[in-house]
Amino acid sequence: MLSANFVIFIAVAYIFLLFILAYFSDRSQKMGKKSFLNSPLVYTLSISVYCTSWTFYGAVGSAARNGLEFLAIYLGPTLVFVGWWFILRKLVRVGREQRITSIADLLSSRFGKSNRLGVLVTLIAVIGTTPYIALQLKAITNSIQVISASGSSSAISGFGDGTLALGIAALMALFTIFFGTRNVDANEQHHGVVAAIAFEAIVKLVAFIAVGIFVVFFVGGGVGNIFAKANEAGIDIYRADSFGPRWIAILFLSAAAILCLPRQFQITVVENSNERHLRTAGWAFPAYLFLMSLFTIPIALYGLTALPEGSNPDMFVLTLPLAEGNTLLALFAFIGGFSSATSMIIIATIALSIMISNHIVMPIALRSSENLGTADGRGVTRLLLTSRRVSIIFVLFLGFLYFWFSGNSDALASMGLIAFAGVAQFLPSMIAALYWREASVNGAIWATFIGFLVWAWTLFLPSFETSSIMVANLISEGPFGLEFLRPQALFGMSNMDPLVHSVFWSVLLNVVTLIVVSLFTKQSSLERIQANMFVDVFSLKKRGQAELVRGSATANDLMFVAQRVLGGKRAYEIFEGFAKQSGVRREELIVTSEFISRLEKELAGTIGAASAHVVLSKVLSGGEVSLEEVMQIADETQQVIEYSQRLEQTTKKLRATAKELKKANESLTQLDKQKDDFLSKVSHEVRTPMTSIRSFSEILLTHDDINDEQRNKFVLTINQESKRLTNLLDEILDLNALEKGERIWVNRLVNGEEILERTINICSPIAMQKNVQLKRGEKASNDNINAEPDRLAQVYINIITNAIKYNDAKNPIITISSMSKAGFYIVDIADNGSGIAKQDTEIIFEKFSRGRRTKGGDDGGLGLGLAISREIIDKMSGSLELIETNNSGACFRVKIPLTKEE
Amino acid sequence: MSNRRKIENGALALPIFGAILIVPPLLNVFNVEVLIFGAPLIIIYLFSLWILLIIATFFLSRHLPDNPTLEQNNDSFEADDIEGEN
Repeated sequence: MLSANFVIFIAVAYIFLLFILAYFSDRSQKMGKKSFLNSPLVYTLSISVYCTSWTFYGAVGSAARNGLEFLAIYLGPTLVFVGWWFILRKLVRVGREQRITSIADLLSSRFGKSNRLGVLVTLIAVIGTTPYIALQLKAITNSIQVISASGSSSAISGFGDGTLALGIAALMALFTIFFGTRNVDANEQHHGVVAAIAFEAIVKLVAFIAVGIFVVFFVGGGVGNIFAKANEAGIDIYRADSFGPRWIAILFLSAAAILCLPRQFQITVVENSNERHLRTAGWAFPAYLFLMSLFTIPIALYGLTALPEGSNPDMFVLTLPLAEGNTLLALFAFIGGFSSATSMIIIATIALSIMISNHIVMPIALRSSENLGTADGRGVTRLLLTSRRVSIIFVLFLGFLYFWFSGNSDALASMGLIAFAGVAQFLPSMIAALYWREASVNGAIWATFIGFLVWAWTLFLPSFETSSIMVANLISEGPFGLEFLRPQALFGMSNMDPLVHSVFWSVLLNVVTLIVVSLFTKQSSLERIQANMFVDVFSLKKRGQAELVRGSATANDLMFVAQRVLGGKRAYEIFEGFAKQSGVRREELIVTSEFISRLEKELAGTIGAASAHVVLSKVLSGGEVSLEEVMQIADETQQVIEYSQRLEQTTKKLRATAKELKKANESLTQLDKQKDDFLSKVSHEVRTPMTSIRSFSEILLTHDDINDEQRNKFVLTINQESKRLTNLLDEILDLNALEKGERIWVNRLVNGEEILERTINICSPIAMQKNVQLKRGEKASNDNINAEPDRLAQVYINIITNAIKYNDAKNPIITISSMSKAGFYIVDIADNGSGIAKQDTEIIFEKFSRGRRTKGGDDGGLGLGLAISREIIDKMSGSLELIETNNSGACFRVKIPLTKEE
Repeated sequence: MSNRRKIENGALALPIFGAILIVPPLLNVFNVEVLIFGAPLIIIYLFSLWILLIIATFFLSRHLPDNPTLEQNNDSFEADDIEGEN
């Protein structure tokens, strides 16, 4: 059997081991080694500070009493980490960008660096965490009692509970002060502490799993066996009632707690050294929780069946190995529980001490002293370290006092969930801080305060029910006999689980207050700027708060402040770094707003955003920068942004216009060329007849000796050529008029077939004259079209005469067929001549082009016919084109839309 | 780009699905008196779901973009501009 002295000796030795571990980790970090300490694994393990002794021992107890309820405490955080990409990633990014030092600092910084909010959050955190620390102390003393009293039932040799708890608290304080406040770090990161916490995470996991394996496989005879035996013993292994509102409330609370508990925020956000570590923690932390809870139910069930009735299920982890005579395993389990208690105490105390010193001590110190620091130049640093050390002792002593006074009452046992519900009051403001731009500082303060009040009234206060008669009366009758204000039955809601009742009212009123007050109050300029910094943390360019502060301080003034807050070395490094960046010597450093904002962030990393803001504002131009000025600067920035956007738009427009102009220019050039071509062609066409007219008339004038026959012939030629000239000019005028739309053009409803027949009749004499056979092909069934009949006939005549003229086949045949298809009236005019070369299919429709030549040379055609025809058909919304057929000859197709019959 | 969006949306859907699956009424579907491998179905269900969530997160995390900050967005803007000039 183990003596109490031996157990205590082991515990002290364990803490000593932590000291060594933390010391060497700190040292290797200082030497700048890239060790495994910076790995995502250590980060993930340190997050498991979530699993305190309350979960180590208490989960089994809860499983024994309430079935699966304990699982909700693990599943809530699992969901948050599974969704790490959304809330956690943003939280960590904001934390790093803004050098956030605690959850109080986060909310204070987001809501206009408000110190009131910082103080409120700090107080709530202290009130919620102190009983939690007391719970850990109780777990430690209880476990020591259990493991050492099992042999001899005497009290712990020479120690009372109180002395033991005080001793442990003192040791914890020593450790925390030693490694948590060794220096005022730039980012409030404590590598030594984190390493120790990661080590403790492994210890408690291995210890719990060892007990689990021992129970299940060595004494319990397998999982199935344990369940079967428990069922036989009359234990309800199904617990069908487990999943009600309480299950959902606990899921919500634990999900909120993993974000809002000061110690979780400290580890997950503040101690995070690399954002990528979240990537691993996202799945690895749920896996840790999974392993941690895997054996809880079997241990609980086996404990219930194997141990004598009345055994405390909270201590099954220890009593089961003891009952089986395995003291070594029991000792190991004790160390596991001890490590889960100590890790919680250490991190919670560090987090609280930072909050107290940054949000309560610093502001008071700043207010009371106009002149920062004393002559030795290390005032603020010393003040910070001292206040943190004192806060650590204060918090631990408070925890001890709570433990001392609550004694063995039930008040402590339920403290875990009560603390969860307390810090859950930060959640609405925290989510609003990250996602809701309009949330205002008044909204956040009132929401948190009212949520806190409701929580204190409905959950915290009733936890004293058994230790105070006054509280018990209050619960049963309400204050001053006001029944509707009874703590566990607000407004008559009496049939609810007290936890669900409290969470419902506190969170509801919290959220409603946040929304309503935010909507009805105006944000200050600083708030608005900070809101954008937080909400847009992923989309904003890294430009810091360059606009925020502007003043007339010299680099020396700032150096003076920085030395006092950050210490000489760190301040020197910052100034040197910035000077190097801007390419000047440190002595010549000019104070730019960019530099000031960076310095403010560095200061914020040590004393919190609110205090840093106050400190710098004091130095700069002897007071705070007026909000109007800030606003103006912000507006200017906005204007610049808008201006550049406008400029960009204009540039785009200009570019588009230039493109259009270029296009227009190209088409103009082409048109110009076409015009030139047209003119030269016209001149050519006109010149030929003119030349012959001139030469023949000259002959007639100069030669008197021409006989009548010849004279007649000459006059005839002159006559023909003039006719041709007139024709040419007529056609040009016609085409011109068509193109310009000068002629009045009236389409009317006509029968296409009728016009076609008429045309064929007109053309047949010419065809007969030339021995060309005109063949009528298929006929259209529907021929109602909107057209100008004479003009349409002109087109047909043009095409048919062309076909007659150019047909070079031995037995020339022209086939004319018509049809109505797909809403079009279509006329195909095909010949069996040699056809038109493929490359000419478009050219023939141009002015003065001739696709083919007759056998007999020049024929008097002008090459305008098809161009005119196409123009005409266009006016009837139709098309004229040369189509490809299987036959050798050319086939022209006239396509005119059918009109709907009325 | 669209692939990245899909993975991000998956990362959002996963915790939501997870949350729906571990609260009533869906949870009560499995809350029946049935034993699987000697353990009640509801316990097997919750633990298997848990494992699946962990595995899904593991694979999603490997495919989520590394540091989607503004720098990347800027790059794509510039690419657009170049296209515009062409």
